[in-house]
Amino acid sequence: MTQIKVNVNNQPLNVIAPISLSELIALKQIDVDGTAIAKNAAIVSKREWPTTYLNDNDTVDIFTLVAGG
Amino acid sequence: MLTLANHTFTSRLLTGTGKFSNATIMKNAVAAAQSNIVTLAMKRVASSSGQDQTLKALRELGVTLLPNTSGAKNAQEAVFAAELSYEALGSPWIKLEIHPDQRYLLPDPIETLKAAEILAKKGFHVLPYCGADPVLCKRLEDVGCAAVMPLGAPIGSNQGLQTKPFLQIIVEQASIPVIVDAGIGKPSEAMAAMEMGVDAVLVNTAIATAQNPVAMAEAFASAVETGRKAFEAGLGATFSQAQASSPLTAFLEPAV
Repeated sequence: MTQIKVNVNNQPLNVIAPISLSELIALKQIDVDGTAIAKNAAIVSKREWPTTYLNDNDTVDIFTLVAGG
Repeated sequence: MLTLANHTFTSRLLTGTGKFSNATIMKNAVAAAQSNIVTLAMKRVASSSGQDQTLKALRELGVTLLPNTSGAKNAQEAVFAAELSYEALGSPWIKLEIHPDQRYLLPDPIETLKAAEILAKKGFHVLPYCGADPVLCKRLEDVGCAAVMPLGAPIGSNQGLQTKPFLQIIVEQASIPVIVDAGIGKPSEAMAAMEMGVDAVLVNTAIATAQNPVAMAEAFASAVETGRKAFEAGLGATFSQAQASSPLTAFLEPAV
């Protein structure tokens, strides 16, 4: 168990490793439906979230669907 | 029936979900519009605010979701946005919009065509927001778009069918559905578009910013239905001079 620093949507975040993308989404209380994640600018498909782990200094962008025309 | 990418839809009114005062009014308006296809946008999750309720409300309605690429300033960003929305929803529908200019939000034709070609090859059902340019619309059709979405006027302007003569040419030439997107401010304008033979219209601002969005959604639904019915019935020809609709017998004159 080591603490790592990641960047989530341009905000620094300290988390305890190992942590997967699924665990990160649960930690941030974000619905899985309608959410997409890019890790270090590459899109990670939902089926890979449970096995994709964060490393120190990773950049994570979390996107969701909102109202729009 | 409206057919897009081999899917059929009963409604010819697509609704956008922006600018409503809350998700409940939006949901009630979409239900009143009887829309089968509804647009959404994609953005980074804000850490401070609560989660947007739009998607949850639309899931309850069971409509087809049409995420857009709004915010993309070039083809590369639009393709990335489309791929994100595919991961988010698992659906190939995408409303392609690339408008780098913030003042008029006019679509960039070159970047739109580039992105449309890439996305169609990847298997997306691409519905591009574009200028009312008949040549561009044919090019978008050639690269495999499921429909074209030419503008009537700038987004959110409520100016109506400023591009009407060009929309008429697009309708005449297109082999894929034509959906008038942007600028429609009144039900009468939606009806006029449908009478011209466009396949569908997309309305957002005119419904969302009405004093009573639910009642306005109903008004748009009936206008679109009436306009389509008139088109299918075949409008009579127009003439520059009078054409008598009663017999011109001189009955006031004494019989011979």
